[in-house]
Amino acid sequence: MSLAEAAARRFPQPVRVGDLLRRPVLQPLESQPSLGRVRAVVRRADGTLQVVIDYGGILGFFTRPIAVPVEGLALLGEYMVCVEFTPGQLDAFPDFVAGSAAALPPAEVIRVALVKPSH
Amino acid sequence: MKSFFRPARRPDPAILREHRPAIRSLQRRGLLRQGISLGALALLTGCDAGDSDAIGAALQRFSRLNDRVQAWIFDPRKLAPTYPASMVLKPPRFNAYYDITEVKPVDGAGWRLELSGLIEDRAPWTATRLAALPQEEMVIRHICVEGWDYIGQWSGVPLGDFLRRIGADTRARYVNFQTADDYPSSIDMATALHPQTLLATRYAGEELPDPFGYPLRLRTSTKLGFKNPKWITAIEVTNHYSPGYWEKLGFNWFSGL
Repeated sequence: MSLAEAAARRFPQPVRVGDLLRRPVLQPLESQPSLGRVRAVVRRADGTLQVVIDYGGILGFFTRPIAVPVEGLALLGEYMVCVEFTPGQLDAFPDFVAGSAAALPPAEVIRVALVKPSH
Repeated sequence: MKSFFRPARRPDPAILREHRPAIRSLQRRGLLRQGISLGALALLTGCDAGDSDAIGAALQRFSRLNDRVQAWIFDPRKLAPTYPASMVLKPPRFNAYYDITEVKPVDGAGWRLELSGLIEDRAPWTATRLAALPQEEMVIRHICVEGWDYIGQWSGVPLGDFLRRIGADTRARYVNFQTADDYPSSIDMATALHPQTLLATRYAGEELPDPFGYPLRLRTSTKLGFKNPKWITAIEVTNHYSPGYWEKLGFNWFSGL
């Protein structure tokens, strides 16, 4: 099943890009470890949407930006959850290069899948 | 092999002999303490502490006492806090006893709200007929027993107005709900008549999305989140207690805030 097909089964809902910025991104585990925070949402030249996450680091420092397909993430209330990639896979994501994709304005509305709490 | 922690020189056994009465006394005290604890537990529950079924039944009796106390102190005129629309979480947080991928959307056109029990007019309702009734909106906090919460903006028909309109006996004790996702639930009549208890059909000004209970769900400001069934298909007014999905698993029935 492709990322898009998996996300479609999670009832994607409309959400303002501005409402996603700075949201914590969690692992889908009961202990809810944090993977980072949303920095931006970008559209690549092929039209696909990616969420730029300030990933890793310690206490918010020493993070690096990575771009994750929006279909790999889901909304859990005021959080986002990385439902399709493990931290090991995210470690292998390249650094996002600023300017390589167009940042969406805060007022733009995109659709993001849902997830239930991990317990 | 000799332990590294064993002292090179053993204590004099005479010390043990000399203090044996005091050691015995300490052991007796420990036994007495444990006996008292076990006795207190047995008295508290009125049952054998080794019998987990009996303990469970006793705890259920306490839970029902808890329900009665909560119902007694519930003030049907006291309103829960409300919030500005700018604080509303969009979309709301999804939760159910199953995964999001298992949600089965309800066909609004074919949907009917069935009525039963102590109600004069038991004719089923369509979504269109419900939407024609006077609507109210409230921005309230949803509080889950799991510890999370969010502020949501809900619109719909006040359940109390609906019950009076259909000629329900508002002196009855319970209002029961059946749902499309097999999640039975029941609330007390005082909560059903509370002004902040809605048969909600909209969220944040939009039609209720499928995962949040379309076409009809309950939203009450005075109870925990699990007391708000989604995808409601039937309402019954009755004097007979019928435990809901979580109450059958041991959750507290009243679950007031």
